[in-house]
Amino acid sequence: MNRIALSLTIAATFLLLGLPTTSAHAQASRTWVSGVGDDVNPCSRTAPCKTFAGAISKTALNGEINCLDPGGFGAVTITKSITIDCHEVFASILFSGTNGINIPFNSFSASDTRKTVRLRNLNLNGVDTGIVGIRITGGTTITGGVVIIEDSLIDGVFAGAATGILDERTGGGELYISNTSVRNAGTFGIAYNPGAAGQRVDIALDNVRVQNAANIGILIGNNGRAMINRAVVTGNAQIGIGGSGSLASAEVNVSNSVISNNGLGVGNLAGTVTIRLSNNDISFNTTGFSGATQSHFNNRIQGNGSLGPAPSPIGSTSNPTGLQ
Amino acid sequence: MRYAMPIFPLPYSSIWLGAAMLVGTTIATTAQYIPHTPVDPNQRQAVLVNQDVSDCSGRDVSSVNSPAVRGTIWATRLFDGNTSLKIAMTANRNTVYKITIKCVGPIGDLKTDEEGVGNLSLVFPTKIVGAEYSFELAPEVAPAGSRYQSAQISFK
Repeated sequence: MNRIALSLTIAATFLLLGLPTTSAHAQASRTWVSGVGDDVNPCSRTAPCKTFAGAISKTALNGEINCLDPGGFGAVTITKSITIDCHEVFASILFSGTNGINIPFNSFSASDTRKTVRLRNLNLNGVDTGIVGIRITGGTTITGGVVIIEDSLIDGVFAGAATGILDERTGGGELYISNTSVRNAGTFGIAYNPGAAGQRVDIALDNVRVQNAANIGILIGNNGRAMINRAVVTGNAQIGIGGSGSLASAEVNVSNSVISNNGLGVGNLAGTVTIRLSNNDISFNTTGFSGATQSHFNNRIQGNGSLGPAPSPIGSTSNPTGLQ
Repeated sequence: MRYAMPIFPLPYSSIWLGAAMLVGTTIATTAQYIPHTPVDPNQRQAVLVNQDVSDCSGRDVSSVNSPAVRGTIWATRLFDGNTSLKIAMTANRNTVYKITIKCVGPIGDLKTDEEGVGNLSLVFPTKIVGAEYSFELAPEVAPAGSRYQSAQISFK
């Protein structure tokens, strides 16, 4: 009899000890934020959270945070594969004096095999004092990683590194940005600017608008390989699109884009950089080009203050356009 | 048996090693593209870090951009003997933060809004601080984790 009582007591103790653990790990695949929510809530549709930071701890790995209604949902640091998608709802992040979204891949778990962050339909405003809109770091302990940014707007970053989207990874990975505007940045609009040669980051920018960066609109640094398509890069004070490969070669292909009203249109800035241009309008820049660039000879280059070194033909003597 | 380390002459391998280190250092400093941005010589900029304590000068506060950075401070020395201070931070919502020059005294309050955003400009007499100083922002009741320390402002 005593033995049965003892067994029951032990079982009950284990059960009680286990309960808090179970509830702490109860994460939903889909969570919700609302302008009138509260972070003490479970972030369900009927009891939504107030901020992305509050919702992310209640969202499962590879899960999704959605927005119930318009609101400002606050700066957030993302440390696991997740989707934040506020399509059809105005979802703002104000980030005064700090970064809007941090994605430190070194803080991701090794068991997070996807290492993929998807951001969709977000409006990030640094209210003139933001440091970086979306900052991607890591690569020393966790390599790879995919960041997808769609249908978003980033504005008003003029403090510190002052960049709309800044990828500083050295461990390689992928960065995809589409249908997104970045404007009014104190340094760079969109930059892949790692602190070392590292491993290659593949970048695809489609239908992006980069306006009024005080330094460079789009910068591709060491070991970056970027395909830029349908971009409008305009009004950037120093350089529209630049490549810098001082430690490892960088490649930049620019197609079907407008590069206008920048200090310098396209710049091969340092080290080993290959820039290929096809079917672009490059106009009204103070200077069209700096350094070596290559052209399929189907670009419209006109109205620049000065041309700079003209692009060289990509193809052979018999086929100078290089088109196939 | 012990050998004394020879001072001169340096072996060629040492010279090459030194040269290699110099080149390495140079390459390391150019790893990132560093923009040429004009800087106001009378202005300093420092980050505000979510950190409970720091020394008077803020020397032990990291100025590296990280998720712990929750704000930025700009201090500008004016010609009228004052220093203009601009603070931008994103922290807890609807909270009043006491602004203190570390080891000097309080100089004002900053209130964050519904989204945790707070911006404030104020001036203080430059003579109340030395060439190096830092700030702390903390709510009236400040439990652990609620204080913010600035990195060092240095006009040296």
